Amino acid sequence: MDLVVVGLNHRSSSVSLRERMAMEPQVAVDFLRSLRDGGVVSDGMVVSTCNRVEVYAMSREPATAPARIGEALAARHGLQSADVFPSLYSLSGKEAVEHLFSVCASLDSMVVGEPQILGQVKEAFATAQQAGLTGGAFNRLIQRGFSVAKRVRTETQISRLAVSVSSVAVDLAKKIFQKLDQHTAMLVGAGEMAELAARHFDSAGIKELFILNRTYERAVALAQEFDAVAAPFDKLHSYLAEIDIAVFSVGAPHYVIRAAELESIMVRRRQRPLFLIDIAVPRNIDPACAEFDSVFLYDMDDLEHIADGNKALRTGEGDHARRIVKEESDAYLSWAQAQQAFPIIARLTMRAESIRKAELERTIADLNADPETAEKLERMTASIVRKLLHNPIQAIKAAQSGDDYLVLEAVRQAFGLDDERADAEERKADQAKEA
Amino acid sequence: MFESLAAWSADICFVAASVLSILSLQRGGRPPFVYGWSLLLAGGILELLYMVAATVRLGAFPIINPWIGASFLSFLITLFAVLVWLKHREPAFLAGAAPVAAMFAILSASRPVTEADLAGFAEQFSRLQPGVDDAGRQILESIWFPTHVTLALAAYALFALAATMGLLQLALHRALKRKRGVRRIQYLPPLPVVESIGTTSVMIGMACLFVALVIGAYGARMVLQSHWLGDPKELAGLAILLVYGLIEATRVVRGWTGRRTATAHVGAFVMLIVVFLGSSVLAPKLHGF
Repeated sequence: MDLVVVGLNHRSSSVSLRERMAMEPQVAVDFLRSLRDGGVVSDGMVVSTCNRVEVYAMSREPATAPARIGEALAARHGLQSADVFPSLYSLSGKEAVEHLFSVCASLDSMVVGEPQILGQVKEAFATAQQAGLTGGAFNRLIQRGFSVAKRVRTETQISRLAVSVSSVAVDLAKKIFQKLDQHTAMLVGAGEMAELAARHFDSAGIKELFILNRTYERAVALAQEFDAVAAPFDKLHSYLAEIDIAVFSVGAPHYVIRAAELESIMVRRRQRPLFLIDIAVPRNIDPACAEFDSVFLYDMDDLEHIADGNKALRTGEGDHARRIVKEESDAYLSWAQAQQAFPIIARLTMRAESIRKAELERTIADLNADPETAEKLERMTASIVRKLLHNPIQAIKAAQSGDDYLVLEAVRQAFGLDDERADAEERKADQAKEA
Repeated sequence: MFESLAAWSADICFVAASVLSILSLQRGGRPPFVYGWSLLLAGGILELLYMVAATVRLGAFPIINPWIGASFLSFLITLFAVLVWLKHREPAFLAGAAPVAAMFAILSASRPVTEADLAGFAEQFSRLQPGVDDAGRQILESIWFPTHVTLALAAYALFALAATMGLLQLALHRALKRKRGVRRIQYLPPLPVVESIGTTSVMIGMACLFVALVIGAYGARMVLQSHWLGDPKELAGLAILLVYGLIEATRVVRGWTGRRTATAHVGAFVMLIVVFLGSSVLAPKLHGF
């Protein structure tokens, strides 16, 4: 049984097509049920986000399943296959496993390293699991994907590097002050940029936020939105002597803060570090203010420069992360093949042994054999079975290490070792355990 | 043979850890830090084994010259760095601790302690007390002598840790001010973390050095009938205590923090090394350790 992936993402399709193909959790469950009832797949889940709609499923027929899933996807959304197929991609076996691990590790995301995708995959998996659409092998594969994501997050910096200007500012503030919940920030200006900065500092857990604006009413309105304190603009210098972080975004033709003014403020602050972020154009803060030892002054260009640097670093870290994904998918496939071969050997041996025992008992009874003869017959039949099975078992082991699924399938069919029942029992046991 | 092997292996571990730490800061990635910390730990354990072997061979407390003192210092620096790492989990501490530990380890491996050193050490004290034949032996077998030496070296190791934190602080401060070195900004620990470790190290180091001086004076009184022998290292120890006291006083009274304190910690440690080597090697008198 192989993993197959059929879907579309931000690279392969337009936003409008992704919007049409998106699936609510219940719709996804119904869709997967119909695929399972139709015998196309045995287990699966649908990951549906704004950047991708993907069906992950286990199928006995990895060669034909993707086309059938694709057709079902198009039909489900009332689209023609011809409209959807050019944007669809389908993967199976090793490629599918690598893709799953890459998606979990956020290597396939629009913004590489963004943390949301792992949560979205987890949600999709939980939905499918609750609907009884996942089984033993599929569960193990997805769990492996989660642990690969964790390894990538731990061993690389891919998810730690901020790539937006606002998050770069928050990251820098953490480098200067460590814990933001013990420090205060001030927004000077209450425009759109100030609002965005307020949102970031608020979610980073800043202790207290002050908002100063020339139009006091606007400051009050924004302060109410963020549970902040509004203050009159003429108190700017007093607040600068107290707060730790200040974001300036005032529309003014001249500097709002000059070096000479800041000098006296820094004396009042006893040279405590001050992080000034100037996102206004033209700038609000005199660049000479950066000369003070404890003043860290960043304007829009500086923040963008760091964001660009982080993007480049993410690319480098991405190569490392992809090596981890490759290593993990190889390890998983080796393990999965071993899992596929061992039950075949066990079932083959058990089947031969049960035939031998039945025939032996019948012969002993027919011959009315004494214990000595019975023991000789026992030894002889055991030896015949052992010798007969020697070559098939060696062939199974060789097929397992050589990725030869056809040999495994041939042995299964030749000896009548259909394992559907065993899989069904395993799934039932898993579901009982999870319940 | 075992001692030399342990000492030189420790050197290799410390140097490799230093190279990896610098590579990590330049090129990024977690694995170099992981290997670096493992090598640093291995180096520290090897230094400890080296000192245990020397103790067994000499049958006495072995820190009787500056060379093996340097070995003990590299072990203590490793120990303190690992303790700090366990608390803060900042991989970049390696970049501070490994090069300093490597410097002392190389100094130590260049001259192992010998039986002749032990005899010379005992003899110099016996000469000071002509009436007491075994004054040197009494010192070696006392409790106060190993306590005095261990506390003094622990103080030096803590000052070394403060200096390495100062260097990390200066590196991050510079990167933040220049707004360049994205990778360095990313990997270096936040300014308050390194500043707090540096300050705490100095405070504990000062307490250790003060107690070491008091115990040394007590021991000198017991064996040599004088609290104060006017030895260059006694003066140096007092001077070091005063310098660090001054740094702490400016921090508390005048609010000097940040780059100024970091620079002071680095400068004071450079002074300490000069004094440590100068008073031990150039003017050893009673403190050739």
